[in-house]
Amino acid sequence: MVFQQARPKPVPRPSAWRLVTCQAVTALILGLAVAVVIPDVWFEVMLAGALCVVAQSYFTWRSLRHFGSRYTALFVVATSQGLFGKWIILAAGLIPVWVTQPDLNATTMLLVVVVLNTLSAMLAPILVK
Amino acid sequence: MASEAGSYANAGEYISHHLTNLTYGKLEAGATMCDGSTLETTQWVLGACSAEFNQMGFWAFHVDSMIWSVLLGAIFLFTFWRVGMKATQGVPKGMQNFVETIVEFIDSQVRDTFHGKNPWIAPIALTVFVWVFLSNLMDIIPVDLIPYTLELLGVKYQKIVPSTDPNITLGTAVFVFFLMIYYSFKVKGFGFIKELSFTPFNHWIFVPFNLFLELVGLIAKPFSLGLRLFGNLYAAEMIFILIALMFGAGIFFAVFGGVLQMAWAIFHIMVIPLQAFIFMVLTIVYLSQAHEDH
Repeated sequence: MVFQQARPKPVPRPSAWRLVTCQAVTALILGLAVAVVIPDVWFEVMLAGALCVVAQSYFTWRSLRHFGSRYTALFVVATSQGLFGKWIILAAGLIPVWVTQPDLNATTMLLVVVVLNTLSAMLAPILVK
Repeated sequence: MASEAGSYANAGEYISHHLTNLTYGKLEAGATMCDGSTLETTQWVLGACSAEFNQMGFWAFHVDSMIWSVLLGAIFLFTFWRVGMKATQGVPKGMQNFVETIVEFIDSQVRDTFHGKNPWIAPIALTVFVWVFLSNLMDIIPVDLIPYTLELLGVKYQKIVPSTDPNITLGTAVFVFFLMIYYSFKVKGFGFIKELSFTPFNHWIFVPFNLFLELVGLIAKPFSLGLRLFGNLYAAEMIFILIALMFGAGIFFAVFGGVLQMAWAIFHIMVIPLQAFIFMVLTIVYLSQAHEDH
């Protein structure tokens, strides 16, 4: 027989939550280190870190929500929504804080966001399996 | 090119000039005008320099983007209307063939992606695709050609690519967003609110959490449409402008710049329809989701 009938196998859903865990642990370590070295900005680091973890969790959940759907467009759209939703969460979390609490160090918070997101982007190929 | 003409003090001024829209807006009394004088009464004026544009605040209209948008929309409507009026049966030729190819392409995309019943979706998708495509296509025109020609005629600022203006791309995205909300309520009624409140966790205790997740997703939709298009086209235009700077740096850099312009334009020919296609597909999917009633 030239052709053999084959049943399509579902593609296993990638495990992306390790990335969120890694980000949370890094934020915690960063917060503890800063609490010892520069205690003035400890709160900013923890707040920005927590916000990053929430945003990354949203991205992971939303982008994998339609994984394996018969309509591939749904998966593409969900990923796009997840990506923009993540930055909306960060913007909606940070901007009101910067406006209402001028005493908080905005640069530190922005730096934490950049560091944690760059870290997760760099670790994604290793941790997402 | 512009540097040779000596009309710009430096590269920064050249870039800044090319990224500034012709703006009509409200100048408050006391605003400093381009000639250094102070405005005595509040006035709506067509700005003459970036100092005036910067004082206009939120209520400022990018006249050039609006004119080019309307013009491109008119070209689309007129061309398709004319072809439609002259359409003949049998094997299509020339422009009719081209228009039929586009219409069939959009129709097949809508049939594949949209699962509800609404005769307006395909025309909306066609309009969005062709209009975004034409807006993007303006990026292929050499960066200095139209702005410099208009500058000779007295119009100092001119941005000819509507999709490099976030007001235009986000405006189009907001239009799609309103359509989404309209069809969501039309098809599902208050079931739409229920869908937002009870997805993904179907228990009343999770309503605030569900609302947070779903509202972020809902707001992300127009941003994913508008900002993606703006970002791609703005970056592409910026690269065209940066390459154009080389034309004022001697014959060697001018020739090299010409080669780079050509290479980037060829690459950009792929980006132009791709971005229009993505905008259209996302529009169809979002409207399809608005029609899905579980």
